[in-house]
Amino acid sequence: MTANDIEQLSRDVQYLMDRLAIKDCAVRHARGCDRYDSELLASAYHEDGVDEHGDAINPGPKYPEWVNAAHQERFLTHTHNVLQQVCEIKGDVAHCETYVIGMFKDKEGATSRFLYGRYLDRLERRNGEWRIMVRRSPVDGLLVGDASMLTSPAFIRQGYVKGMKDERDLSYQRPLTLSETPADRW
Amino acid sequence: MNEQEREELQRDIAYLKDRQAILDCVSRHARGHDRHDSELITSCYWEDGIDEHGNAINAGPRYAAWVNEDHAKASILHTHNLSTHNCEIDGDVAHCETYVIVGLLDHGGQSARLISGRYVDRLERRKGEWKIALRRSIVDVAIAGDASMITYLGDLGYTHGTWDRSDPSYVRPLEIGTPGVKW
Repeated sequence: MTANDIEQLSRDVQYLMDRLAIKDCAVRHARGCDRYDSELLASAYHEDGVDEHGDAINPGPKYPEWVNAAHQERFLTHTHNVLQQVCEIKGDVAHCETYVIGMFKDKEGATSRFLYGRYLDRLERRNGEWRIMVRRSPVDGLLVGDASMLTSPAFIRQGYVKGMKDERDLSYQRPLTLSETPADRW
Repeated sequence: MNEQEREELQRDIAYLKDRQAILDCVSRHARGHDRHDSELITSCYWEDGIDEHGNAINAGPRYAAWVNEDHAKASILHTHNLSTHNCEIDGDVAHCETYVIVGLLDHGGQSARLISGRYVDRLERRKGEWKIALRRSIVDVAIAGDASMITYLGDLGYTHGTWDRSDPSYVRPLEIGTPGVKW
């Protein structure tokens, strides 16, 4: 292996690490939203980062407070499903577009909504860490449907675990075990 | 490249391979579900692994039989669509959370539902292989709607998946013209 080969190898590995770190940032954000985890959410943004969701423009550090209140007001539970990401990296700046499907169980009534759109992000790497500088959130479509299945006897009989809005959620458990606490069920 | 740089490079590559292997395990599991491929599903768990789906707790090797029956009772076709995936690796143990949107076509083919939830996994690496030691399943949201127009896909010649090895996804090499089952 020549010195050139090794340099190329190094560059390739760095590129793969960067792509993964940038994807992980979007994933961290989605998880932070769904678990109402302000610390995790804030960690997706630089201190001087900015988030735009419609008319709501929030500095990164303020975004968790805004989004948690907005979600809590309208929805019982929700999932932010981060899909494919197209990403361009130029040195310490990355632009990416991440497709997302948001599913939300309405607080009132037996309906859910299915929203789909994209996150447009400009990230910067500082001290080896990729975080969001600017996020914009176009929504491209939605549909509303029936969620009565979640309260049907047939479903409840199956005893599925519910998601929690804090660290009692199973996803925080280390190590993960089958212990009963704190699994809340439908 | 000095010794430290070489070591860091090796560490990074090992990390990337681990992340990919773990995601591949979870992805193979989803595929196993949708093809009712017991062998594939079972290959994702350690022999002493455990799966929890609500009240149903199955030992790894028994899970496939249970879930294939459960899926057949609930639907005529389904896909497990994985998204938000986060993963923490600590030596030979990994904890990961993978979001899933399960699309199920109801018996009768008139309606379908999407169940959105998460797989919360503890995987272990043994002899270089990552497999599931414990899986717990969470349901978060569901939405149901009308699927009655699905037969129009048959008019256009689209095929759908099958619950066995005749599914076109198994064909090697893949070619146009391999028969499939039309809507």
